[in-house]
Amino acid sequence: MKSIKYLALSLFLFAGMVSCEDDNYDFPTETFKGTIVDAGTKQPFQTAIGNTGVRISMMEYSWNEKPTPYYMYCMMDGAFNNTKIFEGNYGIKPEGAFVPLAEEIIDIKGTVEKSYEVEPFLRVEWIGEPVVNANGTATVQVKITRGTSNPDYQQALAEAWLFVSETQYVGDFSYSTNYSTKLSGSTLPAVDATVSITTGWPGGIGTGSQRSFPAYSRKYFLRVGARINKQVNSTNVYNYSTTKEITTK
Amino acid sequence: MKLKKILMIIGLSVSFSACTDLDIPPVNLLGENDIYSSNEGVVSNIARIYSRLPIEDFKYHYPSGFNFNGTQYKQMACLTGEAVGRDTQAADSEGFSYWDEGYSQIRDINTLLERVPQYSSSMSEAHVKTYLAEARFARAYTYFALVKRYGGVPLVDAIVDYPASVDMEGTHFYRASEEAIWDFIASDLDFAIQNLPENSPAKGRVNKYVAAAFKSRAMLYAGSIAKYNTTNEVQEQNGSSVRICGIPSARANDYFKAAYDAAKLVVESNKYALYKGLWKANDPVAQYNNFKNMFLSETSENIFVKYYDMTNTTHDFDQSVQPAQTKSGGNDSEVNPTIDFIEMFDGIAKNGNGRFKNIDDNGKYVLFSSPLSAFANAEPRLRATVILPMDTYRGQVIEIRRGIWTGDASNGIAPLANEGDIGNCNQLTDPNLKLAAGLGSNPVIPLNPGDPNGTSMKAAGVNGPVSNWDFGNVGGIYLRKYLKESGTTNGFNSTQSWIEIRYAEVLLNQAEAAFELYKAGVTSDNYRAIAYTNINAIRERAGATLLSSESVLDNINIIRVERRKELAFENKTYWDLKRWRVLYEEQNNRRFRVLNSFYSTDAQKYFLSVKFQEPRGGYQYIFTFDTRYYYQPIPTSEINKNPNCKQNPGF
Repeated sequence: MKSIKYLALSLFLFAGMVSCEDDNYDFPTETFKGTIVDAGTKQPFQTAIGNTGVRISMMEYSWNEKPTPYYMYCMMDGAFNNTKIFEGNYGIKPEGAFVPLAEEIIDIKGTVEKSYEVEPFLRVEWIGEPVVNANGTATVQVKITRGTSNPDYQQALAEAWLFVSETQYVGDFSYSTNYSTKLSGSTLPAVDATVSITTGWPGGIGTGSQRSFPAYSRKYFLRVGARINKQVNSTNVYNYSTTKEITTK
Repeated sequence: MKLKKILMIIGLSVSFSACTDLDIPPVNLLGENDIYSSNEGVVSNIARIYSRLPIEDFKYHYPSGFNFNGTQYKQMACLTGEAVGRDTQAADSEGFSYWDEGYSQIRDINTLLERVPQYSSSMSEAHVKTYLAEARFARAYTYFALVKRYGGVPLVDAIVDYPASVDMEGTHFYRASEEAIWDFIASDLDFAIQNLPENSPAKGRVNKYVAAAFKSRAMLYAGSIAKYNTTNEVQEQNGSSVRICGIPSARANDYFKAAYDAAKLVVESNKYALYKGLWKANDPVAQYNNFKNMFLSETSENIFVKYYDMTNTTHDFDQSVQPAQTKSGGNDSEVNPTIDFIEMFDGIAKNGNGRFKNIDDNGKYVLFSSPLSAFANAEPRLRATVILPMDTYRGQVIEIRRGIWTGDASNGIAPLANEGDIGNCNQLTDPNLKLAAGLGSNPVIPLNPGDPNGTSMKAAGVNGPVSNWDFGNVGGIYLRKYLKESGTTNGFNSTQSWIEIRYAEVLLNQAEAAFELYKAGVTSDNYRAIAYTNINAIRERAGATLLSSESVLDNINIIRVERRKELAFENKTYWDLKRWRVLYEEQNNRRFRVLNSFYSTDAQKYFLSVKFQEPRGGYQYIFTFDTRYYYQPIPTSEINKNPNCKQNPGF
């Protein structure tokens, strides 16, 4: 009885083994890297991380006219770098909070470096430095301006945020729901004017009460994001300022 | 030896002679002939189609799917701000894809539509006509479930006979335009309206007016998409551009008109009516009982119902939402209506911001002998929809209390430090505040001598809310709509029927479509007058304040709020918020507000604190809707196997 059992078992194992074969396809080694740059200021394009940021759509046409898109996402300063791309013929198109670019077909082999100049929907620039207030809040001044004169992208401002985060990764993808401030509707800032925003209104100014930083001193990272009433891939995408660091008292 | 040979030959020849041609249909399987050639066969097939209709009823569970047979921790009502729940922690989207199930249903329906005419000689003409019309209704119903989720989807209106007549390439359908799908739904429903009988052939089956009522819902949805959607996703398909997401806005009025006309057909048939069996004018108690009982009875209001019973199928709605106090086991308290929802109702004291007035002009809490008295003048529909703290259910006073405050109330009670704010009450340092950490650690607080409520009281009553993660209430109010009034509720022992379409919805569909047409300047009917009449009919039955004149009806929000109140907790509001494209505006870093009742031992009265839903178990309960989900992602498995099927934007 026992030997039959072993025999059966070894037969099954054998059957399982024969289907094993080495996957001898080389792993991807090509590099595709580069930057997204604001065409107006030549500064790095500030963006979010993840699907609300810049997504580079890569269509690999080497094998198929209708490939499943491969998406690659940029870093917060618009840089991208992927060292594990398969060699091939790709249709590349960065998508984000800027006037759309046309798809460009390139061959990727070895290291390919690209720089894309884009016209952002909005530019958000700091005016002066953030001020930490005695009451446990911080006030910043920013100026939001149009980044493009393209008539298709002149929609009204829809939403602006002073994002506050405990880490340097700050934006709509990661922010403190206690200390950030949301501006929408009647509290929206005017375009082209210098506006000041104070922390601590996560549900919008006047919703609940203003939140103050904890009593102990620590670092926070601030960044202002704004978006117009125009979605990209059905996603609300923001244009950002650079990140500033503050230390609370 | 010879004998042996002879025997063998005989034996062989005997065994051969038993051979016969085995090419007969298997007798243990039902063939096409059995199913389509008799009324019994077709009806059993149709019964299966009905049972698989994508109805978002008690057994629809948004993380899992339709006809779900597990405990419903997460609740769709908690995705709309109508309610909060401890297990619905963020603005989730559906956790499953209604796709394969939908196309399998469509294939069954298409098969029936092709086969029944081939066997029509064995059934009466009237029967055949009804079957075909029912199938067309079911197909429209199924496409509606697809298009409201995904936008344009592959339009399959016949059996795809793979591999006999098409190869694999032939099964790679492109998505039709969203507009084409809505028009297809309209044409299927028009066929159903023309060919269905005046009365349903059996309980639960459809008739002409069910199809018309459903058409008013579907066309209103289409009109809203045409008017409010901003997504414009186009796919190049063999040289032509097809808009797979979105409808040209020029079509909005066509769809609103179709919705209006379909609703009008139902209204003018006079076959259904707002249920007013127990209703009496100027009698809030009668109006309350009337509205409450409507969901537990078979009434003139019911147009299309999914029936449940003990022998065939049951659900577990009660165990999910029942108060902790009356539970006989299982789960409880998953749906806790918010004060944001309550504030929509008429007859509630409001402050200058239009919020519930719980603080008087001197900045002190308003005191009530019972939390119930704060809502004494509210429209009766409110009490019939929710169980307010200290209201009765199953003959018991439902004791919902956040805590007891033992401080000096002689100069009034100042708001708690976190009034209107974020945070859990157990973070408050007020030594006079007595809270319960859990239902099992619920301190008994002695009351002052002569207190009308006795000598002592549990801090958090019987139901909570308590400070920590536990069973019991988390928002200060319970749901009443659809809750049964007797019997065991510890699992799948609920048999309330699900009213999928009721007459009030048809009136609201007509009113909304009419108002949209009025706003667009269409004058082929007196649209605003109809909207006004319908809204007032609903309000009168609800015991709400009537619109004083037609000209007061100047804003679509009047109609939308009426709809949200009337159809609350019927799994319609989520899709309404989606089609109005307001879900993101409502849920953008949003915390919903709850009502915390506290008892003051000194004042011997209650005060009601309003604050954001309290964090518990590490959850912050912050809701942000991802706008990509106005069009949900098509399942990856479909994208992978069909290269012509383009994914929705953002996924």
